[in-house]
Amino acid sequence: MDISSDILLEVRDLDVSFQSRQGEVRAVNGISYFVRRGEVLGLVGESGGGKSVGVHAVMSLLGTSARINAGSALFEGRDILRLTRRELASFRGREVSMIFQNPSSYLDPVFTIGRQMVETVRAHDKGISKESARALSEDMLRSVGIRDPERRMRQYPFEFSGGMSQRVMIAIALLCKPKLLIADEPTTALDVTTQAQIIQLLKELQEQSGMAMLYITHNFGIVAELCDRVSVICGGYIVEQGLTDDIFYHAAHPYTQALLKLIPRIDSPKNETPPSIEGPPVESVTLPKGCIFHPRCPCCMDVCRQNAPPQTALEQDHSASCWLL
Amino acid sequence: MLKTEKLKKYYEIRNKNRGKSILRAVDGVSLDIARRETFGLVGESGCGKTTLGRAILRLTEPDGGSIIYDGRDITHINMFPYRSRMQIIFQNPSDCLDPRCRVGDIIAEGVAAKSSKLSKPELRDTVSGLLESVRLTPDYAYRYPHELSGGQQQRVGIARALAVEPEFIVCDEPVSALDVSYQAQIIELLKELQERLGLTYLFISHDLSVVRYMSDRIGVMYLGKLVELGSGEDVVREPAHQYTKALLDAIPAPDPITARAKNRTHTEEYTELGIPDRGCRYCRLCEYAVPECRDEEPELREVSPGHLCACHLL
Repeated sequence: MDISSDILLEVRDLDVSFQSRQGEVRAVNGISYFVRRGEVLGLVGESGGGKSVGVHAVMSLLGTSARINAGSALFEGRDILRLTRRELASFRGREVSMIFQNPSSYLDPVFTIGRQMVETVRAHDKGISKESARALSEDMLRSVGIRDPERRMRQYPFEFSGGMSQRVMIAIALLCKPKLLIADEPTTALDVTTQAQIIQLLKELQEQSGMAMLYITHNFGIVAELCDRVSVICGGYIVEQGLTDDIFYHAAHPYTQALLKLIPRIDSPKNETPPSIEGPPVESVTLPKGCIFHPRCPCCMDVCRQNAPPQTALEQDHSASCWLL
Repeated sequence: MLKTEKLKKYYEIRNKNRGKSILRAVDGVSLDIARRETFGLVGESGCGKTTLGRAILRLTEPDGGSIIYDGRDITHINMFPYRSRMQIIFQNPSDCLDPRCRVGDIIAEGVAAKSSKLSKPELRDTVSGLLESVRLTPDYAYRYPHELSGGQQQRVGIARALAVEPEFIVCDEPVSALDVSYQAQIIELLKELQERLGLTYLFISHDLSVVRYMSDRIGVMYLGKLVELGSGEDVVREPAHQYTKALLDAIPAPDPITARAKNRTHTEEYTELGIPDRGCRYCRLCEYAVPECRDEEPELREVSPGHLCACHLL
C-alpha cells in the first residue's frame, strides 16, 4: 500500500495567532503532524503550549480573535481548513468527532440525553426514523458502559456524574462512526479511578472500531497506556515526535526529558521531590529568539539563543528539533 | 497536635421522589496528626475528604465527634483565637482570590489582622517578605489575580495563608488544578516552607502519587470512612485494603512497558452506588468479599505497627 494513503490527517506548517490587548499572541508557530489510520497519536505539552489551539484550528473551532496565518490540514487529501460552513457541518461528527475536558459544559442542560443523541443521529442521517435513531443511541450508550440506557436516555445531564457525562460525550461522538476521534484532555477533570475506566473504555472502543485517535494531554501516564506515537509541543512548536517507546526511553529533546522527569512516580524512592523545570512556561506574546526552550534549557548554548534549531531525523518516525543533535 | 475522634458530618438530601435522605459525608473519622508532620488524605471525589478538612477547621460545623487541637477540645468553642493558628489553602486559587483586590492588599489583610499596630511601611515590608518566601518578587503586590498564571495564583494563596503565621495548614487539593510543571514547583515550595517554619499539614488530594511525595503518613478515605491508615511507605508499598490497591492500580504508569503489562477489567462505573446501610462500604466492588462483609462493618485494626486497615479479611 502507498504510504501516503495510510495517512488520515496531515497538518502542515499550521500557524495560528490571536489578537489581544498585549499584542499578537503567537499560539502555534508552524506545526506539522499527521495521524495514520487506526493509530493513536498523543499531543503532549504544558498548558499554554498550543496543543489545544493546534487541534481546534483543524476543526475550525477557534474564536473570532484567532487568525490562521498559514498552513493546511489534509483529511483524506481534502484541505479541511478551507471547507464552507455547510461542508463543515456534515464533516464534523461524521468524519472527525471530538470530546472535551469538561463534558457537562458541552451537554445541553435543558434537554434529556436521549433527545440530544437522537438529534445528533438525525442531523447526519436525515432519512433515519426516530425509533431507529433511538435504538442506535441506546446501543451506543450500552457500548460505553452505561447500564439501563433506556432509563438513562430520559434523564438530564445534571443527573450524571463527571465520569458518566464523559461516557455520554463519548457515545455522542461515536454515534456516526467517525474515522478520527479527537480527545482534548477528556480525563483531566476526573478522578484517577474514573480516569482509568475512561482510558480503558477509549482503548477498547478504538481497538474494536479501528478508528484513529488524536489525544491531547499533559499526562505522560496516559500517553504510555494509550498512544502509539507522541508529538511533544512547547511554546507553539513541535519539538520532538516519535513512537511512544522512543519518546519514553530515548527522549532526545531537553524539554521532553524535563517533562518526563516531572511526573510524580509512585514507585520512586521515598521523599524524593520531583525536579521542576526552572522558570515559567513561555509567554506567547514575547517569544524568545532562537530555540523556544532556551531560556529554561539546562544545556543552552550560544547558538540556541540566536537561531531556531532545524528538525533532525533520528530514526524512522522519530525526530527532534535541538542543536545538540 | 491535632486529633479527631469519631468526627461526623451528615447532609440532608431532599429528593423529589424519595423524600429526605441522609448523606453520611464524613462518618466517624478518627485520626491524629503530630506536630511538623504531613498527614496525607486520599480518596475519590465525593468520599468526604474535603468535608473532613473543612470540618476540622470548623468551616462547616461537625454533627458529631470531637476535634482536639493542641490539647484543647475545639469542637464547640469560639474559633476566633484559633483562626490565625489554623489556615487553609484551596484547590482553585482563582476562585478564592478577590478579583478586585491587588495581591498586596489580599496578603496585607491577613498581616493586619494578626498585628494591627504595624505602620504602612512595615506592612509593606512584611508583604514583600511573604511574597519572597513563596518565591515571587515584591512587585507582584501591585498586580491583580487575573494577571497571574495558575501557579502564581496558588503561590499568592499560600502567602495569604502564611500571613497570619499559622502552625497548621489544611492543603485542600492545592496542586490538582495545576499543570505538571507548576505542580512540582508548588510541592517543593510547600515542603521547604514546612521545614523552615515548622508547619503541620493536612494534605488532601485524589492523587496518591502527589500525596506520597508530601506525606509522612497517609489516610485512605472511602465513602466517608477511613479504610486504611499508615506511613507513606506502608500504604504505597504494602497496601492492605483492596480499595487502596485499586487506587494504586488506577494511576497510569508513565512507562509504556509497565502500562502494556497492566490488564484492567473494570470499565463500569460504580460511584453512583451510594453508601450501603450496613456492612463494608467497599464490599460490592471487592473481589474477595465474603458474606460477613455485607453484614458487619469492619473497624480499623492494626495489621503491623502503625499500619491500620478496616477489612474483615485481615
